[in-house]
Amino acid sequence: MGFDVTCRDFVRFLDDYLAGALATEQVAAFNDHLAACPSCVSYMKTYRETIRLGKLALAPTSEPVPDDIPEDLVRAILQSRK
Amino acid sequence: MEDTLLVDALRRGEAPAFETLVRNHGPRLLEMTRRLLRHDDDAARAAVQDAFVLAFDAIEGFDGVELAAWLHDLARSAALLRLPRPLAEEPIDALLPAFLDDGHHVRHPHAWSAPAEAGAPVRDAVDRLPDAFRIVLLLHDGEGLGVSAVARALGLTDNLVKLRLHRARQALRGLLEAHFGREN
Repeated sequence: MGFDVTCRDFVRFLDDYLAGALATEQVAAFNDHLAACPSCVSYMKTYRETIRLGKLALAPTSEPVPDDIPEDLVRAILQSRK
Repeated sequence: MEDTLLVDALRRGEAPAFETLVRNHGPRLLEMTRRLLRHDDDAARAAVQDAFVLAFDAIEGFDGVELAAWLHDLARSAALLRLPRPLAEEPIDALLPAFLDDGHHVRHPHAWSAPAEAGAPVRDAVDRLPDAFRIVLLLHDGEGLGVSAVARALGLTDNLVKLRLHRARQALRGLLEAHFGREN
């Protein structure tokens, strides 16, 4: 590839790297960087964990839904139909 | 009542069916609009009301495939319209990783892990992000929309959505490191 990947480069293109959106030569350069950089290994692991936790916590079904809805809101909605 | 029967009753204009629709689907819609609108309860309730008013008007044209998903989409769109505009975009650089002039990390990123029940602190951390980043994260990673769908919903380019998503995730990582790193 002919260039060295820095930590800044690695973090900047991390989403593309994880999504498999980089060219083969770029992936090889990123892999070389990872093999020599424990900081970026640690960053990538916690970045992936962040995405996993975010998806889990923010999914529409992630929280128990209360059984009811405020009564005045129900009335307001039904009134607005008339 | 099954959705197909409920939709039939709605199309016939039966009043109890409208109330059933609101009681069955309202709680989950309200939960979602509260999350998008950062717990602004008045705006969240108004968005749910907007969604049901639209649904009542449009029930004739509803294709009958997935009532919950249809209502969810209506309420999400209504909530997005009620977000304060322009979306708050204050800098989040302090939450992003810093680099030396030679491109190396300023400090080694800490390893951390979250407990099994981490939903509440993660949601709290997301709520601390400026809206311009928070909403992109919620729509993409929470609602499961693709980059282009988020871009259409917010009137942004795909590239800007990708950039904001990446920065939002980095900032969230920084907040979670500060939270869970302390616990480890």
